[in-house]
Amino acid sequence: MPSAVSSWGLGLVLAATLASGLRAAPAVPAAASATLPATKPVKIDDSALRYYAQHHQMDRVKIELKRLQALYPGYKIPKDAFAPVADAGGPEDQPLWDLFGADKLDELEARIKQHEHSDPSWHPPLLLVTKLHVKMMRAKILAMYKAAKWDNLLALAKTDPSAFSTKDLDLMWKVAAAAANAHKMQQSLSLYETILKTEQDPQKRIATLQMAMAHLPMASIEDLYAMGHVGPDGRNEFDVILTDITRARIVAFLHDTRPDNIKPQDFASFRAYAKTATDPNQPGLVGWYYYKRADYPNALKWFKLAISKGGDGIIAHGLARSLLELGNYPAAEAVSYAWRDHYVPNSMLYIDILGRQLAESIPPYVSNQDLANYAGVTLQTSSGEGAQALGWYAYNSCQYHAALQWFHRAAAWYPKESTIKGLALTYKRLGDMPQFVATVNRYDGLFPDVVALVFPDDHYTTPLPCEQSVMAPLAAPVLAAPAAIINQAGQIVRSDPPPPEAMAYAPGTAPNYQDSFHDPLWRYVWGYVPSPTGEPYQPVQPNYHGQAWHMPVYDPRLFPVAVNPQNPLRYATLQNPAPDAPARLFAIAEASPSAPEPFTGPWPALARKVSGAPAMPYQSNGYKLISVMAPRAKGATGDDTQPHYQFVPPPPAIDPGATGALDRPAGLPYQPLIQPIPAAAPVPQQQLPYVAAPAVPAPPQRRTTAPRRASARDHATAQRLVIRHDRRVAQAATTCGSAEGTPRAAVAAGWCLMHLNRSEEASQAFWRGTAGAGSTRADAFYGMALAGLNSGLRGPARSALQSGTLSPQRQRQIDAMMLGLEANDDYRAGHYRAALSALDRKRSIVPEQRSDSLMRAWSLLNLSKPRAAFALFQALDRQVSTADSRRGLGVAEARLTPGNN
Amino acid sequence: MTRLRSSLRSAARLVAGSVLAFGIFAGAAHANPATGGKGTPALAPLDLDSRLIPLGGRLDEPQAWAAYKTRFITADGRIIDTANGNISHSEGQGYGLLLAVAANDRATFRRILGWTRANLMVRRDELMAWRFDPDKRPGVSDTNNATDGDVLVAWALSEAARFWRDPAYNVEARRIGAAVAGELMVKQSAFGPWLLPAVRGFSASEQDGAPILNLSYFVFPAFERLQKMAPEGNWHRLVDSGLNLLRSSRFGPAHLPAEWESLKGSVLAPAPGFPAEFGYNALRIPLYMAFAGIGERSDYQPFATLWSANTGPLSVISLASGTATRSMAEPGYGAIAALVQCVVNGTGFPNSARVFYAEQNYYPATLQMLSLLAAHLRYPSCLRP
Repeated sequence: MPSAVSSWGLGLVLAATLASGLRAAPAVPAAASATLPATKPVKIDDSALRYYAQHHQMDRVKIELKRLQALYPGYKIPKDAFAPVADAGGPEDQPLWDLFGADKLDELEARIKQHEHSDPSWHPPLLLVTKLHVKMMRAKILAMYKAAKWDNLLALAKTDPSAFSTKDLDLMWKVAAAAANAHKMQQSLSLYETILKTEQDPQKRIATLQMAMAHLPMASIEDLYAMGHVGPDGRNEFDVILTDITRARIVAFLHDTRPDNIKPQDFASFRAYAKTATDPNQPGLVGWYYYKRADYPNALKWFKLAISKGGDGIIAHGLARSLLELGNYPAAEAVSYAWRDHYVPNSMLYIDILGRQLAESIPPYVSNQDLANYAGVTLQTSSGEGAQALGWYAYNSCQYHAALQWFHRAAAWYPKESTIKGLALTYKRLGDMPQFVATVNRYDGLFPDVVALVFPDDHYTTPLPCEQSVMAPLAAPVLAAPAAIINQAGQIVRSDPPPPEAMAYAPGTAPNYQDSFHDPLWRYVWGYVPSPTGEPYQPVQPNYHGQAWHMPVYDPRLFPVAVNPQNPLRYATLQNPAPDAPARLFAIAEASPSAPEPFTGPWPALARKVSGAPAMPYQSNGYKLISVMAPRAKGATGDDTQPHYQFVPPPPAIDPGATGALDRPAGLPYQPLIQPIPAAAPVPQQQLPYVAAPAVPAPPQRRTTAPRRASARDHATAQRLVIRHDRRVAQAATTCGSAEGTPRAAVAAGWCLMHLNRSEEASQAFWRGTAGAGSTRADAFYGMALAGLNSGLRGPARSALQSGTLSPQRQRQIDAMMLGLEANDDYRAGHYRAALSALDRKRSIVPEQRSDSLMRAWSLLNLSKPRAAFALFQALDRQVSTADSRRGLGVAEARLTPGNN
Repeated sequence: MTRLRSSLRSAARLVAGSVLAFGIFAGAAHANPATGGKGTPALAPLDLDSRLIPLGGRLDEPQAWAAYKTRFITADGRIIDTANGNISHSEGQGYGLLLAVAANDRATFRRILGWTRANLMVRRDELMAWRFDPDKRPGVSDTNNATDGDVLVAWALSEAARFWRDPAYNVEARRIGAAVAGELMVKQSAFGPWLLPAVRGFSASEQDGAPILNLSYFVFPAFERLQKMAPEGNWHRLVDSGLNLLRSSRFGPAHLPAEWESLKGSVLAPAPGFPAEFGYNALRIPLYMAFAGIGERSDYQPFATLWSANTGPLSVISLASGTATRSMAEPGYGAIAALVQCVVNGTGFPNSARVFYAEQNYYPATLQMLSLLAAHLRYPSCLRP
């Protein structure tokens, strides 16, 4: 392009394709003698052409040129045809020059016209006409530039390029800038190139490059830079502004429009400049450069310098992000909070950083003040993420009323799957069944995790630590253990008051737990979650009866039922008073009514398939849908929430074909805990439903739904299963007695098979036993749970827990085993955070076994927390030094050594 | 380049004084073979101003807005698509929000936003599910998004944040804008960056290397705002690449863009599997161009030509034949034609486009309101009686 353009431009030739039409030129005196090639000393009268040229009458120039070329083939326009003629006029023309000098161009034009009108023989001085034309073009272009009429400006420039030139650099720059602003980058670049080709003044050349840098992409700037003259020292003349060029290169790298190939010496000199610059954005740019290159320590250093020079919200954002990358959450949180009003992403970052901690399954201690700050920002920005985080914090610390208020807002602003799940769980905990049912059904078809709240699957939820009180005797060793309690994020969560020897805080950094909320066992402590409406804290009586809270199970009364698919929740943002709010709406528009909602029911009773949504639990769990009622007659009225459909559950989740083999995770001595609690301990549920902890009085049972009993159909299915596998059972019978007799005999056979490590057959036997009553039935469920867990199956254990026959002690054991299994599965799947979470929950029920501690340490190591892992391996090794603990210690130590990461 | 060279050859240049290369001014005004053909006199460039104009409070149409609300916006803030079984979608919610802030109707804005967030923000990211059927469960029928809906909502939020000085809207606008930039903006192509129509289903990997795009999803007037909201996206260049794509989308005798196009290398074609038509989607392209004050005369010319001879209702045009296949009878569509004539020729809005007919369906009614808003913002002289 540039070569094509310049060769054309320098050609000084009018193309032969000019408009035709020959006309005689008026006879005018020649202003200058014609110049012709020396080889052709023919006198050509081109005075007419020169006249038109001097007067910038381009159309006529073209016609006259055509005529001359017809007469004199090869005739070319003389170079000086357009040159101003030194006809400045006489003293009588001075008033005109004065007007010109005073920039009164319109007045000057009018005066000339008037003069010509009154005296047809008078002509204005040619020099004045030429200068006036150029000056008026200039004024027009500047006016268009000011009005940002880029396309018009370019069009005008195109009509008469002769009116301006590289002599008027300022105008040229403006035209080039207009081209760039009109997104005509190539045109713009060509103009700058033209200037650099013709202009030789070094200062003006540098200024041209600087002008271009304001408008053109860096790739074009590099083209222009390459046009710089290289001096005898080998340096490019433009290196005088190398700082500016390096800055532009850094910016281009940050915008991904050029690779990171800035020369180290150039970057070093830019750093030296940025260090002393008063403008905070210069060190800020260095900070962003390091940040993009993931060199966070250096990024932090430079952002700090930029802040010290008065950096703005964007610099603060870089600072907060660098702190975050370096793992300094409290500082990142503090910075983003302090700068939240200066730059929107800071407020978002703040919500995000603290939100992640708040939403942990066992949340860390957060002070009341921090929670209040967080709630304030959440309400001011109507942040769904913030509301959700507060909802989970409140829920996981048993502050259910506050949880509901925050989940309401979260579901109105940000109805993601986890938000709706939190909302439904909170409704359930507060006993608001109609809302629970509506919520679960509204999101049927879209959110499997929400629907899973009524369908048993492999997700089992243990009681929240905030409502466990019966574990006190068991929990005592946890408190006494030297290892600190570490939550999912690897942070230390300590009880209050913590045993002095377990204090893991650096001196003077222990949080102030005043006015805080703790679990019944004083193992955890939490801040109070403020109510968004300013209501005081309302305690909810936790489940002090020692019965672990379970997910509700499938109940046809809950699911599926008809419900309005529209989410009714709305919450306004906390109002920020607008200082000068715009005028009120027109009265007519304000008073106009809304459109009526076309759909007012009846609502669909069944969910549809949503494109892109995962399978619902009833689909993946093999439930069948049946119609339980004939469709309602047309026009019939009545309660539309009555179900018209039901799901039929699959056969019991005992899979005789499953191997149930558990792979031992690398480096972990995992063994399922199978130590049946003696049969003497359990008692029939009717006699003693709950055993209260000694310190806490047992409130009456507060379950809202009856546990599901095995139906007759289930038993029939089970019997068929047993019959199908009677051969295996018969084999078992040869050594363990018959499982075919009474339920009591089946249970006995079950225990016998368990001792022979034949868990699957034991499972079958126990299942038969559940047909019995009283302690037989209770033992059967218990045995079935143990047998299932031994095979890696959680279904039987869940059935047992839901049967309501387990004593608290047995229940705790099953809970713990399920969590152990969950932790093991998560660890094997590489979900180390989830494994830690399961271990945490398990530890809140039973003291942590050495094998679990080892898994915890390996998980920490896998989560790149070698320091915490090392501490734990060390503690274990000090208890008993084994190959496992020594190996872990070695690996963790190696990871802690610099250079090994 | 070829086009530039040929125009260089045909255009005569006079250069004088210290010599300049003004061949680079070979403009597009008469460089386009598709519009006028050779010999057509060069037309003056359009007098367009592409600077950002805040639209808050600029919809000076109280009667029309009142009628629009009463017909299409429920008390809950749901915008009803009356021609499509009374469903709602992110596009409609976005248009509703935009018109509400332009009409300075904050109560209605809140209602629409409340419904939108509570019902469409169900995806795992910050984008919206595109469609909601109020008589089905769940209301969301597809977890996929529609990029124009997301862009419209983000744009409306950023206008509202500025107009009502509410930072909460900025946060929300930024979240959506950043998600569009991160998930939907294809950074490189022969035409520059471009926008996928949705997260799922249209990309190169899902379309055998020839991704599918919809030019009417380039909501040009939104991009200047979104550049400020979500600077990680290259929204400025999206304006250029949108126009570049349009200039390569002149199909059939009428030189019109297709509703859906497939992009293979530097070649655009009507997308296979979609009708090769110019219709309900693509007629928004000139609306958005005029709304943003961008484009050159040649860019508007196919639309101006199509709609100049046709004083009656607009039609869906078959690209192969360049002729009408079925009528788009409702008057609101005609407002876009009026806007194009206004931009190209300075013609005033005819009465049929100036008067708002509330009886028409949601889509033409909305397009008419947007055309009126664009005229109020940038071409007020076309609305004078």
